[in-house]
Amino acid sequence: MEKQTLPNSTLILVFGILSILGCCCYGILGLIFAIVALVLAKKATAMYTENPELYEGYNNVKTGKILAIIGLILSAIYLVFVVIMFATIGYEGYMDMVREQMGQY
Amino acid sequence: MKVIWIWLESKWDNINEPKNLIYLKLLCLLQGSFYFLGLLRMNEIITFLENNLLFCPSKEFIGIECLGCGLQRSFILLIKGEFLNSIIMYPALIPMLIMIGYLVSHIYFDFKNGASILKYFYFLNIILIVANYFIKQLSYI
Repeated sequence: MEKQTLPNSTLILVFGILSILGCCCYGILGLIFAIVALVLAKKATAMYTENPELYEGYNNVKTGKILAIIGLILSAIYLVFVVIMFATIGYEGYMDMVREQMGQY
Repeated sequence: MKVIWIWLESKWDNINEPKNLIYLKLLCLLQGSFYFLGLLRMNEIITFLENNLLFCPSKEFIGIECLGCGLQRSFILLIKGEFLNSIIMYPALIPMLIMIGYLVSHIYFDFKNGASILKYFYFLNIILIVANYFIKQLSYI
């Protein structure tokens, strides 16, 4: 019997890598990519564990999952960091900071 | 380039073997990309990119730089050919580009250890990005 590749195995890998590239925009883009990759990876691992000899390409899924988890953590930390900074110093404080920095150069 | 073509022509008799076909495809892609680069007007592209930089919302509205700040400037420097300045501006750019290229080729050719190599590239990128970010932030204080 021929082995099938796991569905979405390459997509998981691509999204896992994109989750770090999309670390701009307050980390929201990275969060979206990482969560999509994690959900797809969960489905794929469930399919693989049911009958492991039927499918191949589990390496891609495994790697994509790890990458997505790291991207998720990084984006989440960055998002929390932005929210905390915004809450403690606020818009005015940041504007002052920016003005000071602009003055230096 | 010509040397590679001559080398390939020596294998022309069994070109239908899958391995040789892959070589042929890769060569056509390489040569095609060279011709394509010749057609492009690089100066206009660089000025266009410099005038139309995407702004970073976090830097614009809050004032802190995000993890990806410097990527576009670094990319423009790379196109111009200033490798060292580009590396100083954003060290993770070149490994990132290599990683994307490796990812695409891994999807096409399905390397044996491709997934784990991609993982190591990813770790390298993350370390570079985070370290660069902290150093940049510390330089402001």
